[in-house]
Amino acid sequence: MSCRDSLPVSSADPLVPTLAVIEQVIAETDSGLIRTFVIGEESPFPYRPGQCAMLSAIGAGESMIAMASTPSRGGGLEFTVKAVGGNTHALHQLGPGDQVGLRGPYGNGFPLERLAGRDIAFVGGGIGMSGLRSLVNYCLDDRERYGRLTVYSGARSPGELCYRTELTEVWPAAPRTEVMVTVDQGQPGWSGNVGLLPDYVAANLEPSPDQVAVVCGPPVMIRYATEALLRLGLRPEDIILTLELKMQCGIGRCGRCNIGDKYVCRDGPVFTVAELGRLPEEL
Amino acid sequence: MPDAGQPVGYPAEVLRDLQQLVRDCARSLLEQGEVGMVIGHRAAAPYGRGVPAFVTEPGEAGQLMVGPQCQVGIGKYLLDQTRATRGRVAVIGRGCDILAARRLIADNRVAPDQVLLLWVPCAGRAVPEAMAKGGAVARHCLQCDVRLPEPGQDGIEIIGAHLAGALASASLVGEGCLEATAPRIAPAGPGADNAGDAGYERWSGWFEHCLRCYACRATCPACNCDICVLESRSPQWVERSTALPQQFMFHFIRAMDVAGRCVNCGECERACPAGIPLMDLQQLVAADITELFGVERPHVPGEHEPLGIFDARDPDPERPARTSGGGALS
Amino acid sequence: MTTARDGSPRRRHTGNLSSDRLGALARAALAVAGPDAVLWAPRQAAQRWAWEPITSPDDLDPRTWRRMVNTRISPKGILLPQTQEVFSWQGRTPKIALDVPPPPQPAVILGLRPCDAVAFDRLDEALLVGEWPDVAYARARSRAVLVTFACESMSPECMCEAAGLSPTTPSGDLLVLPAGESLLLEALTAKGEAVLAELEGREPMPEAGSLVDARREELAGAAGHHAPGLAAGQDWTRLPPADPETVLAMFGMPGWEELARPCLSCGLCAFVCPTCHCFALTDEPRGDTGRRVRTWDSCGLTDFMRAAGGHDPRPAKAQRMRQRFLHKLVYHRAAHGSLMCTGCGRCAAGCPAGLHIATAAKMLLAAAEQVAQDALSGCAAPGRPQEDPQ
Repeated sequence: MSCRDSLPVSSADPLVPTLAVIEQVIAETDSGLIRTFVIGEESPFPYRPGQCAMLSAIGAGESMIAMASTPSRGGGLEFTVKAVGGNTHALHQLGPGDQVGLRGPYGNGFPLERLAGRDIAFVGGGIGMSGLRSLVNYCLDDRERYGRLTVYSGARSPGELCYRTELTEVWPAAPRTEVMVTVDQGQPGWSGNVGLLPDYVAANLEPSPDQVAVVCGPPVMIRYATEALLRLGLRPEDIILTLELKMQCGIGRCGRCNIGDKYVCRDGPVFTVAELGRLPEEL
Repeated sequence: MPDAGQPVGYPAEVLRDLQQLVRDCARSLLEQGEVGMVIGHRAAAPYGRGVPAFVTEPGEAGQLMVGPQCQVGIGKYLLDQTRATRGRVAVIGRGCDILAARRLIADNRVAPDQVLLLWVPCAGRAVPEAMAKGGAVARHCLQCDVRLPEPGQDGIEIIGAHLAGALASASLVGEGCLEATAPRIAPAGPGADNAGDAGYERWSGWFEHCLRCYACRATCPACNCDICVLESRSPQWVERSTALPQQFMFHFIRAMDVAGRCVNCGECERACPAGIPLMDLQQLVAADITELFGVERPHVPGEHEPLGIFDARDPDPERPARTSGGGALS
Repeated sequence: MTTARDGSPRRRHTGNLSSDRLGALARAALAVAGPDAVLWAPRQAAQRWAWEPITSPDDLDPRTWRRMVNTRISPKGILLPQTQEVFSWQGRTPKIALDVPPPPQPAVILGLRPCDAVAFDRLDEALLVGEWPDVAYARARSRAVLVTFACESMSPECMCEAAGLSPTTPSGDLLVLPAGESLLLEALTAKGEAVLAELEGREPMPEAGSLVDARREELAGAAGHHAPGLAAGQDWTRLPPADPETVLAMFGMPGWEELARPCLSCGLCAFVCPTCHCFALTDEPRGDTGRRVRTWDSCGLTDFMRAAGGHDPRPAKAQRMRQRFLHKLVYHRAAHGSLMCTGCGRCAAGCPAGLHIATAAKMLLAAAEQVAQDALSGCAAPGRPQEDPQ
């Protein structure tokens, strides 16, 4: 083997993060369980929508989080973080001026070439909206390149919807762009749709021949949404998913996200349903 | 030249008879629907060593085996097999296997009406490294006091009681018979090489080689929690690093969790790839249990649960220990 | 002329060293590795062989390799330590400073078997190929000198032949073929050449090309005399390069549940294995300071894939065992072209429950045969696999 001829011994260790500073923290939900962190004044690395980075409250671990900001705009990286484990809870204790560990970008990102000229349905459940937000804004910044855009956003309750300004004002105002919001459980004051996201999509999406769907969210939601989209007649290669899976190194070496001959952190987390069909069913 | 698994001087015919009894018993239990599964041993390459067998069809009962090549402790499998099997699960095993099963029952991890225990007499387990040369008995087998089934145990049937005598008289050590491996240390107990600086030296030397592979925990019948405090990542109670303080934490926490419940099966030590004499640690603790609580045979699960039950008469370590025989639960 | 391991033509560089000059060989390797290099060799303690650092090369016993088949635990820990600091930090936000550990001392690994030496090549594939290489491993690997000792005897657990290798597979930097009172040497890489050159400076040696060839022939025949193991007659290179259809057939076959029944979900197999490299990253805070470490991990452990929210793709041990064997024998090969198992046999020898990779390999070979036959006879391709065993 000739691997050893070009050993990257003088490179920096990709497992060592750089330290970045939080510029701003935005509470997305009423409960405060989901916050968006704006890191740095500009991105330290180029990236594509759908890619992720490892974000760390030093001392509390690391989490792989999708970039919610879009590379078509300046400004810092944005990460929308839900507090579920040690590291994410620790991140939530931090505020502007605090340091975080950052390394990336990781993952394959969305297949932008395949989306050009197509009508796109974005289906985002819960925090799955964050990677989609990057893509939606990216498409809007190059509006003529894409067809009709429909955003389906779902959450457990109205208080858990993220990006409310974009959902209610910014995106509906964009040309040929529609936003449809649903919640699993309503509450007093909510006049929008009440119902599960996959059902909502099934009932409302009228797919064009050029239809593509991009789906992000919890595993269960992805499964039902995929079934609904297939029943609506979309082809497996036109349903694009972002998988959530426990990832630790982010660079395809620690083995945790290995499915078949793929590493979800490196060959994914974006896969089409067709590609997934060729992999062992372990998600 | 004996072939592997038939050491010189070993009562081969007795074992063959016992093996046939075991097979017949298993077949009949399955045919009559008394049990959904029989757990025993079957021969596997290399050396024909005995590995766990999970027999669910009467026709498969012929694969069961007994003898010194039976390496693996099988009692612990009741934990997941009772959940996976319709009907009761039988274990046909040696003293250590039966005690392991009783441990699971005493810990309320398996219900007594889910299991059927069948005890066969044993003449010791062979050490794999020595098997090709005719076999050598594992160290802790020399100290075993449950080789021969004890009659009168609730819910436990004995197979081959009439052969027990022949096996008992098969000497484990001696001319023409199985060679014992030399015990690595003096018998366990409060002693110079386990206490203070000498003890720290000794155990650091061993723990430096620990890989934290969890084999000891995985094979131990007393380690039967669904979520193990030592394995848990979230929350993480013991760091995963092999720095010496973490090694001590891991092994001492395990020793204390198992204290009073170790059944002396020796699986931890057999499994350890680094060769750490883990039984020494457990036997140290067991000696303390005997001294503090007066429990003569702490490895036999029974009515006494020295650390599982609070008794107002329990000794206070600050005060002098009671003299022998007068334990709190005697 | 011969071919170097990177495919380029080169002149053979061989030597014939008296076995009581083993210390000189060790010194030559140390000289090439660098002034702060550490010598590692197998040592026996309480009936077990283990890799130990050797302070004095004269302590080496040339009969070691005659008495030993292999160590119980692989030498991978020398270049991929069980616990390794990734970085450390001082201070709290907003005044945190990060620091990285110094590079490791170079290692001379003297006496690894071909299965272990080839295993390092497989680790190179898994850890160095592609974007984002494992730089910590690269540093240790680049500084290491590997001196491989061919095997004169095998155990029933040895399966290198099933893995497409042999007791004399040229591997490492320098290959040593013990032959009676001699050690026949052949350099395989530039580093190996440097070791021989260094050695020749101290111990002039006759060239030994034809002796090497003859001894390799002899050893290939003799080493196999042992009680037949479970892998006897198997040829894992016959497992087809993994097309998705065959992979799914192997994934979905019904035997995994039965196979995994004795498994206790410990990590022993992965930890003794020379090619397993999964690791966990955890933080060890200590007040105002701390470090992030990487430690060995195993896909067999119960919560390997369990996410913070509770989602777990492999809750059943049969699923985890399937992953382990498929990664070893199928998935890695799909990505890199080589089997990720070199047949050292430690997993089979060490498994407390008596499980054996050859049993899984047999099932996989049978499943692959079936797929091939179905294709030939024009049967429809197997559909989606059956439900995952619970």
